[in-house]
Amino acid sequence: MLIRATQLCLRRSLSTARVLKNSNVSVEASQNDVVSFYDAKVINYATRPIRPVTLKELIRFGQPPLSEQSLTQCAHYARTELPVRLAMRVRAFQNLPFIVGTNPHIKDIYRLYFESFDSLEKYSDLPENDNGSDLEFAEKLKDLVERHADNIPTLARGFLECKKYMNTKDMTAFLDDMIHARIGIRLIAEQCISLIHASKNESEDQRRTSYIGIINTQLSPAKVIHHCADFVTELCEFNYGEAPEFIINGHVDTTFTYVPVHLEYMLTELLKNAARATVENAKKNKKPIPPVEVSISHGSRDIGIRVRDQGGGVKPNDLNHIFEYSYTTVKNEETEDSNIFSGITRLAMQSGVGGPIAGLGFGLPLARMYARYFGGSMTLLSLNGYGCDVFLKLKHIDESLGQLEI
Amino acid sequence: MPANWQQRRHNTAAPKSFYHNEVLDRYVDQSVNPNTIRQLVFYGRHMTDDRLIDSANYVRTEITIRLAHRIRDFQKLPFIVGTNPHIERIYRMYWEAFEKIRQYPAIKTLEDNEHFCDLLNGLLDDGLFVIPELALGATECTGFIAPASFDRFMNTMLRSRISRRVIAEQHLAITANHNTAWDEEGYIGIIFTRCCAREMAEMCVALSSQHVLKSHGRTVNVIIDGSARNEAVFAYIPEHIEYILYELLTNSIRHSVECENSETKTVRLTIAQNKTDILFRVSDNAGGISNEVFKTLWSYSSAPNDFKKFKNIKKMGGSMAEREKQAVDERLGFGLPMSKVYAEYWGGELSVLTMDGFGTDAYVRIPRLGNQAENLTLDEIDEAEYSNRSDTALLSTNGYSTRPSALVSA
Repeated sequence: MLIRATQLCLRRSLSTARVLKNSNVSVEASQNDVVSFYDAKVINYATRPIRPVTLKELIRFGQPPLSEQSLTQCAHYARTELPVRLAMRVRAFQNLPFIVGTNPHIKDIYRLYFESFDSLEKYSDLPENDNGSDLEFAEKLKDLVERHADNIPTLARGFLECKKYMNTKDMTAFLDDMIHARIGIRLIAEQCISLIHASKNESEDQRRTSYIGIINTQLSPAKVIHHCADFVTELCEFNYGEAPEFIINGHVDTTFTYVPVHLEYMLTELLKNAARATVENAKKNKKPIPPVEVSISHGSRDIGIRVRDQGGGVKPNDLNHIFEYSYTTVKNEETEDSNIFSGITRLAMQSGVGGPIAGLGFGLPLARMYARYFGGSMTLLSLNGYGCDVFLKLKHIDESLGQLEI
Repeated sequence: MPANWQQRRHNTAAPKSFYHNEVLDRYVDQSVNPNTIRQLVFYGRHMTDDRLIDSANYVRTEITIRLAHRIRDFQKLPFIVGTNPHIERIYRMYWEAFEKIRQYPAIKTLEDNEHFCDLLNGLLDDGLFVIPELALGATECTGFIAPASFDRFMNTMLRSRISRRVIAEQHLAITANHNTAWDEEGYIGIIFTRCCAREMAEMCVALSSQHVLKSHGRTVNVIIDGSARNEAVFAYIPEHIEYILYELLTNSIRHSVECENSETKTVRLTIAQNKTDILFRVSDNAGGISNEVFKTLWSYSSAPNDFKKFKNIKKMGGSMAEREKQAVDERLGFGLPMSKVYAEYWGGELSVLTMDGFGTDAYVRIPRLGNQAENLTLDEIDEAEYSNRSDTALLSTNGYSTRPSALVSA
């Protein structure tokens, strides 16, 4: 478990190391290599209307028994829709102030989106029943999802550097759109990949019958909490030498329909914050480490998860800003560590599943965006001087959300 | 409509003529002067005859102005609401009080002050009728006014009512102290300078437990924990905090007791403190609040029980002790909104969050430095902005204040 965690951290931190190292490299040479002003392809796609898919359809695509027809429909939808959405992201970048667009990190991501758009675009005009290319398409998608994994940290770094060139409102609007769109694109892409692979591999499909693509219809919050808590505990012990106990109570046997990777991201973020605050606070006051309590509720409309800690709370001044991008209460320490593990685990401690965010302040806003994506919410209550309660409310992905558009 | 409504219409101290309202205008044009606890304490500490007389005159003019503002609020209600017999009765009461105190001559001697205090006492007693009447009016007017508007009206009314009681009771108390030359230890009027969070909590726990025991035959375990040391003292009006804690604890204990396996339920009261605030959290695992009920938690006009029970309750006390004396098993439905008004009065907050199927958590923040002015009116908030707040049903924050929250972020 720890090896996997370290590998994860290593990969993430290496990509950050690359990002951090390149921050001063000049990139004039590549100024003209992304999109020519006269290239109409992007505009062509970006001005097409988005065809949102409802959650109901997304689930229906993958409802067993998987039929040739529904898979074809799903693949066709992804092939025609994704280039449009990617093109819109490219346009969004093109609308950033010029100086911001020349920032190397932001440019990196811009280039990535353009290339992704470019590589998928040729699939979009293929006829619907061209099954041969579906597998190839799925492989391409997988590759792209992989390459886009660290978008957020890179963007975070870029925007931090551009703070004086862009006002907060515009930056927030760009990032909100960006992240919201990204979640949707990934959802469609991963659902498609998962279904195509499932249809080619029947036995695996039978094993995980509770899954419809990347949606798990019998997701157990308690299991995910345990999993994330274990991860956070190891990270904490590595970083601080000790970790708080996680107490899980409430409706521990309940299950609901949700996207596991979303839940995992949110919980890891919240448990990390709780653990970090708890341990640092206890050490500061030379007291024994109190536990972190996680309670689960299964209500008629939603699932509730409350993370309760005694980590000292959030100061009123910080409270209004914790959900802002690039706002962080983490102090930037100079890293003079000789121990490679401590460096990485410290980074990981301050990071999200999406990559090291070394105190760049994206963890909470991102987690909240995930919570809100399917109509849920995240609320933080601070008893300043004592601790925090964070309430995560997630709607069941079921018939009632059927009309929700992705 | 009651048979004698025609008669009642003319039997009033309210202005019979539209033009008589001018007398009100003069006072509405004057602004209220909010106090802070520090100011009240400072003033009350070094009492002399002259200062007492000054205080009496301050109370006289200030209450007149505050009453005038509220009467104006009544006048802005939709006409049909204003004709509701209950609302109308309160409106008349307000006019009577306004005229009485407006026409009272300036106080010049200690003897004048004594008479003035009698008047104040009378007004305070009359005021006890206000809440039940308003509640009955509220439920009858549901169709005629937007819930958000009515809630705003009610909050302003209750806030102002507390404010008038505060300055009246404060004056009565310092008069009494001045006369007897006996100082109740630590008290400056009705402000106790040595409030201790833990002691107040323990008392409220005991009282609310008893209350539920009386009405339901059993109670549940209430644990007090948290970081507040016994010696953390601050200046406040204890009844305000006690009202809130009593309400929250009673709700939690009662809901716990009504659960199927109530022996396993516990209520937890956590006390916390920092340099600027005292914080309380009442936590239960009594099953939580359903979405439909939660949406109307702070509303006066869409409470599930429709306030019908108010018909049986003529007088409703504004202090915890008074409430406790009343019929113990009456669920009146005003407790939570009133608690919020009390919490926000000196710049604090009250929030309630719930996990449907599991339990409920209520959070109270009380400023402890005594430097927050009374939160009196909502005039500065745009009507439109106010009515948009009704759909943040998930969240009950510092209600109607434009100040950023020091408790919640969402």
